[in-house]
Amino acid sequence: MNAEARRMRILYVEDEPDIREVTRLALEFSGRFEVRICDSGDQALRESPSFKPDLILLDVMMPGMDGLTLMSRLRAEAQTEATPVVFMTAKVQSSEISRYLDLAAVSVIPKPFDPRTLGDRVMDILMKHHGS
Amino acid sequence: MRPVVDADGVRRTARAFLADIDRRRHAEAALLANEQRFRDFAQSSSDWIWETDARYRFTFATVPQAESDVERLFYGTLIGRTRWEAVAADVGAEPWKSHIADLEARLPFRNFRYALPVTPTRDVHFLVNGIPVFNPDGSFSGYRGTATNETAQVVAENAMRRTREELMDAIARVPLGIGLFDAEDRLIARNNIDRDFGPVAHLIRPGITFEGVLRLSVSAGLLPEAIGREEPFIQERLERRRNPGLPFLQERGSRSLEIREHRLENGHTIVVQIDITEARRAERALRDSEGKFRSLVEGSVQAVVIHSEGRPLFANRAFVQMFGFDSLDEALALPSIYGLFVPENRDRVKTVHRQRIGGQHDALPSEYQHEMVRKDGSRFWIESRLSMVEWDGARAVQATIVDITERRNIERLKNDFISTVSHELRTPLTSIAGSLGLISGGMAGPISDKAQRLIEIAGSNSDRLVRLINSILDIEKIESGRLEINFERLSAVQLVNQAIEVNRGFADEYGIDLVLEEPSATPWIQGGSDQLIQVLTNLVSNAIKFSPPRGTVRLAVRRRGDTVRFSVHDRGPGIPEEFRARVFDKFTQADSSSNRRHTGTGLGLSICRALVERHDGSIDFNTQLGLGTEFYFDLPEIGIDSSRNRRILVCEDEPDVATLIGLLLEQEGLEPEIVHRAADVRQLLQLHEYAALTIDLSLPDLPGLELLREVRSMPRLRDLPVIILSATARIAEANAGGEKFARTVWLNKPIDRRRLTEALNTFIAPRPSGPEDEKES
Repeated sequence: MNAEARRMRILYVEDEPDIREVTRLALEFSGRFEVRICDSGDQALRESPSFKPDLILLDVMMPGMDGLTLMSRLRAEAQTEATPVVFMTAKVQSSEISRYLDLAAVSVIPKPFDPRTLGDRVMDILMKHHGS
Repeated sequence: MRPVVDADGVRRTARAFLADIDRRRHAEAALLANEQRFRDFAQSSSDWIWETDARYRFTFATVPQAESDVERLFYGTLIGRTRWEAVAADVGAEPWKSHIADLEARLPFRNFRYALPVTPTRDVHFLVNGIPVFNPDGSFSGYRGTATNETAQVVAENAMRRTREELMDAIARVPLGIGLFDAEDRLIARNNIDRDFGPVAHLIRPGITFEGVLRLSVSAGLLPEAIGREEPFIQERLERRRNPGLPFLQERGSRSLEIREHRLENGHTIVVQIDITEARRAERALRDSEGKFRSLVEGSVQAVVIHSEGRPLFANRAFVQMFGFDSLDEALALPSIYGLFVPENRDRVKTVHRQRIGGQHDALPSEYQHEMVRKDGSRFWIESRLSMVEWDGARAVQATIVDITERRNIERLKNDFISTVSHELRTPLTSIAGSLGLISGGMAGPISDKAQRLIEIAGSNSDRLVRLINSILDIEKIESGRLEINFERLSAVQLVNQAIEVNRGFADEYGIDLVLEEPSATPWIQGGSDQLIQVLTNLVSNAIKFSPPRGTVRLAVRRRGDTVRFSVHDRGPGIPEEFRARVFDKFTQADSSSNRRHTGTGLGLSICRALVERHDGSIDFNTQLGLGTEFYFDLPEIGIDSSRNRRILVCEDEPDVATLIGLLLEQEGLEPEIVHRAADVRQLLQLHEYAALTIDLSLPDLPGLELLREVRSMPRLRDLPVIILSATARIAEANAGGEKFARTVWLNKPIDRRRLTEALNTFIAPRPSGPEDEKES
């Protein structure tokens, strides 16, 4: 894949405005991503077909549709059925992590994260995913 | 006719004389015939007759058939010898001494017995009768008499006597009391007299009547039932004796005896006393325990039900209440207790139970959690423990049931609470730490050094808050027992190596060298890999933080008796004495001053202790102020799984190398078998099951790679672990091109002991590999 050639599209779903902002800044700061922010699952479902993300970053605990439900809904959509999903969450007890991975999430980024390395981390996940 | 004068001077006529001769001839002939007849009779019987001269030497004997050479010789040489000479007897000893005295006194003798030794174990026995014979002039001419060969009778009598002695000996040894009384009820024999009659044993002699025995026993106080009513007891017992019937119980001292009396056809009575003290004690204990069991089960708040293939056989009150039945009868009338499980689980539970019950006995007890249905249809959760019991002689399942609905609710609430708290605390922290990180990273534009310093302080403290939350979650999970540890066989050395890798980056930040001391052994422990690495990481990161710059932190794994010691040694300042007792307490740090160099949550060591204790281990430390500290924990060592095949087939053409490999494997508790040719490998693989095979690539009779292909082509050996040990192993692996060999490890020579044992340990104790991803830091 030519991940280096163009900016990768990241669809990021998070209900917490502050974290949304910090994450957006962190990703954009790395200069390698085009980030689309959604504050709810419904919005994500609406925007993902046109945005065609390379990777979806999901919060787990969200009012209304939670991240797990959203993931299964995205999997049911033709445009996003194969898009890698990464959970970005504070709910990281080992049983919770196992559950995300069982649901075929490609990785989990625990909150809080280091914004200075977030871009590298997302890039690594993308490279690994496409490599495999 | 001329007269004939006979010797008596009687004149006779010739006719008369001839007639006399004729008569005499007839008489002589008759006498001879008689004598012959007599001899024939004598010879055809076992008895024989004999005569001796005045010096007791046999002059005549009719001897019977001899059965052996010795007998034949005895009979054949009898004439001319005395009786004692014939058997080479010692005449100075009895019975010969008395016998000869009788003969000298010219006395008749009866039933004199003597023996002719035939073999060392067999004698021929004679019984002899004799009378002295005197001449008409009264002089003694010798003895005359009969003899009988009574060997058969003596042998039979001896055998019978021996049998009787053995029988009496056996009877004396049996723990039963056995007595034989004659038709007049007088004692003939009794065993164990001392034991059974104690103080009056010396009076219990053959001839004593049963009544006598009874009265002695009563008077000596041996029969507790008789005390205070001696005479009525004796009369009752005598009455029973007259009419023996069913066995009955009698207390004798502290013992309980079952008495059986049998009257024999000849009027004799056999009495057998069986000691049933132990059996009665066990019976009483069983009754007591049954009573206790019933009151325990009945009074238990846990529901108990015993069932056979679902059909209830027993239920206690708690069971009736738990499931909302109106009565015990209603509960016991259930067609099947499986009807109490929620419908969606019934079939599955039934199948699992059947498998369990049909399996090994020790597959039980097991604990299960199930959702159940009450009589009114409401649902609730139970935890049941199953065990197999005997019920009316058949196998049945006993289920002990606890209502855990409340517990599950509380657990769920608690889990939700912890998860929520953790989430709620982290969410604002994510924004704080994220913002600080971005400012510090220059995203908000250049900032002054002072501001940078302040941002860093805020950042490191928000990190610390995160660690604190993680630690609180950790310790809560461990202490509440909710921490699920995936216990597995782990190589202690491998574990420490992993911990070193995990901490390498952190050590580099501090310029600290992490060193694993060369282990003398590679012991195994049972534990959760994640949790033990967490313990080691805590200890190592502490050691790094407290080490002087460019210092070294040493890790070691050592066997100590039946435990394995993991230790982490730093050259830091040491721990002050006054702090020793509180090191593992929560929220304690030796340096609590505001300017301390090292930030931590103060929970690390208490987490370590909790985790080590969950592994049945112990943790402690040695410290010297100014010199350093060694933290260590000991975990029980587990041996090589004896149920696992430990045979390793080693194919190596260099004898010295083969010996070295063999030694290395033996040190790992494995059983190497060394061969030098591929042909031997083929043969042995047909004969035995091996845990693994090592192959040298340069074998004299076949290239090693060919051997590997051959092994892999056999279905049975497709998964046999193989280790290629060769100077060119890695090159060969690369040259194998696309050819894939499963469960094959390629190791270059010279042999790296650590790699070899790691490879073997991986095969022999395979560890499931889980997803590796970010987890709570």
